[in-house]
Amino acid sequence: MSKNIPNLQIDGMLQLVEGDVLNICSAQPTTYTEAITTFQLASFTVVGGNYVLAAGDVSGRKNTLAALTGATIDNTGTATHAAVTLLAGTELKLVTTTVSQLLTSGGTVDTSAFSHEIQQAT
Amino acid sequence: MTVLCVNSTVVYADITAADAAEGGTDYGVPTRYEQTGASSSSVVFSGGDYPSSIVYIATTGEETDGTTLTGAQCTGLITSSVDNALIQDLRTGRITFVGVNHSNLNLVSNGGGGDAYLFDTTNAATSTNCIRYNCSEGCRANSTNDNYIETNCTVVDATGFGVLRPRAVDSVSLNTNSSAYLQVGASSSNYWADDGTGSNTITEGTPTDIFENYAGGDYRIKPSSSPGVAGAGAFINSGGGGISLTIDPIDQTQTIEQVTLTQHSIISIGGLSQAQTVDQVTLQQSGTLSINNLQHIQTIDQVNLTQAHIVSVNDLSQLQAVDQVSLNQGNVLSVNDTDQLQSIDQVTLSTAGTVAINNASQAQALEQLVLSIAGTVTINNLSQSQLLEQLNLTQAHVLSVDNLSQAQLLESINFNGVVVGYLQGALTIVSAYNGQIKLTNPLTGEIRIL
Repeated sequence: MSKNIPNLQIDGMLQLVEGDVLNICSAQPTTYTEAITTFQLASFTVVGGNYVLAAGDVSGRKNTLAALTGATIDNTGTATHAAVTLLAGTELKLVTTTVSQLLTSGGTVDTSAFSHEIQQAT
Repeated sequence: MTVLCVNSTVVYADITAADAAEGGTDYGVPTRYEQTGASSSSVVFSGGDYPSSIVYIATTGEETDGTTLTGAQCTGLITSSVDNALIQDLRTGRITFVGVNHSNLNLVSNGGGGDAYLFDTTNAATSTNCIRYNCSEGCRANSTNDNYIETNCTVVDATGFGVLRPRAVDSVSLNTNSSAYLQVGASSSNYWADDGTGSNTITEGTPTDIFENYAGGDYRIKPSSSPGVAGAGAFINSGGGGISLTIDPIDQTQTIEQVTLTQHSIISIGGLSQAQTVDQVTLQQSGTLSINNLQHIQTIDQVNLTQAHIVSVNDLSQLQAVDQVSLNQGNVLSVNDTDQLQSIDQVTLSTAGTVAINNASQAQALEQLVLSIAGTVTINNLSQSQLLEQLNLTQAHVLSVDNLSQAQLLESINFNGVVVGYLQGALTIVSAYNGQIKLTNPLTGEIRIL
């Protein structure tokens, strides 16, 4: 008999870390304030339709945040992290890394799509 | 088309007029000139006129955006020997600094066919985020000066050398007639060229791919260009071009730990044939110990049941079933249908215990039985030579012995001071009476008092 977590439950885990802002940061934020202010270089508004749930590439399920375009770069710096935040409750939801890239204030930035996958239990 | 002297609040027609009027006045802080529109005349800032230095800057709202078309400007030659002078946010013509430390910041300088920027060979200076174009040399000194640092600067379309003898950092020089870089300072780094003279080589084939609008005179670096990605050149990304940022995915695995049960265990031992089955069994709470159908010499060495337990020993054929059984509360010891030499060596029932021995055919059922409170001993249908070695009943007990055929039923029974036993071969009850010993034969009713 194997271990199993139903896909519906894994989807619930993935949706727990969805947010409404994608912040491009110059360092790893550990708090909501660090993500939206201290380390932020640029930000994108995220809506529910930007997320797509699907079967995981390895197993389990994955949640993909679509590519976003045209965010104004507010501060000059080198982007190293991307952080998802939720305004309601001022929550830091998820932090991942980016390819290191210099961003100069006044320009714009586009992001690639990226996925969050939770594999089946073992 | 005016210049404001912030220190005096006087507005002049151009920078030449402002310098003529204000030069020689020491305000104790740098004299600040704010350019609106354009000054077309040349100006010479003399060190002696500005002992506290100068700042020549675009007025707020007219800062250059990095293009050749927008922002306040001074198209004439700017010459300065003012120590620690700063020129900022302007479109300019040629600039010459001699013998002093100084700074240039956010400038777009049209060399007009001559050297866009000249500096001397020893003093420390910085130029940051500056574009130089339409020039003979983009920036030049007569000998290498590692103390003069060009950072994030761009030289394009030089008829001579692009960058000659400063320290070049995060800079771009291309489409020059002579070398893009020559004799740069030893600490130079990340300086890009299209002719192999830089520390890095521009991979795009034409200037069109490097600048926002090369043909239109917009020499801001495209952020997606090879130098732009590396953070080299002036006014990177200020043209509004989008940088493509790659975000890494997140992969999570998960495991479930093994579950361990530690309470409410049941021990069941069945169908055994062996010399010794259980050495020691301790059940703390609500346990059940069941031993059935055993054939062996010794079944249990020691059993301690502290609460509400049941010890059931059935259908045994053995020399010794239980060595010691201690039942403290509400327990039941049941020994049935046994055919053995010795069932129980010692049984201690503290509270409300019940001992039932039925249908036993054995040489000895109980070595010692102690019932402290409200115990019941039931012995039925026995055929044996000796049933009880010693029976101690201290309170309110019931002893029932029926249908026995045997040589000796009871060695001794102590009912809290009343002893029943055989005296001279006759069953006798011995009790204390008015300080004397009273002997009663329960069969005949005869009473003797000693």
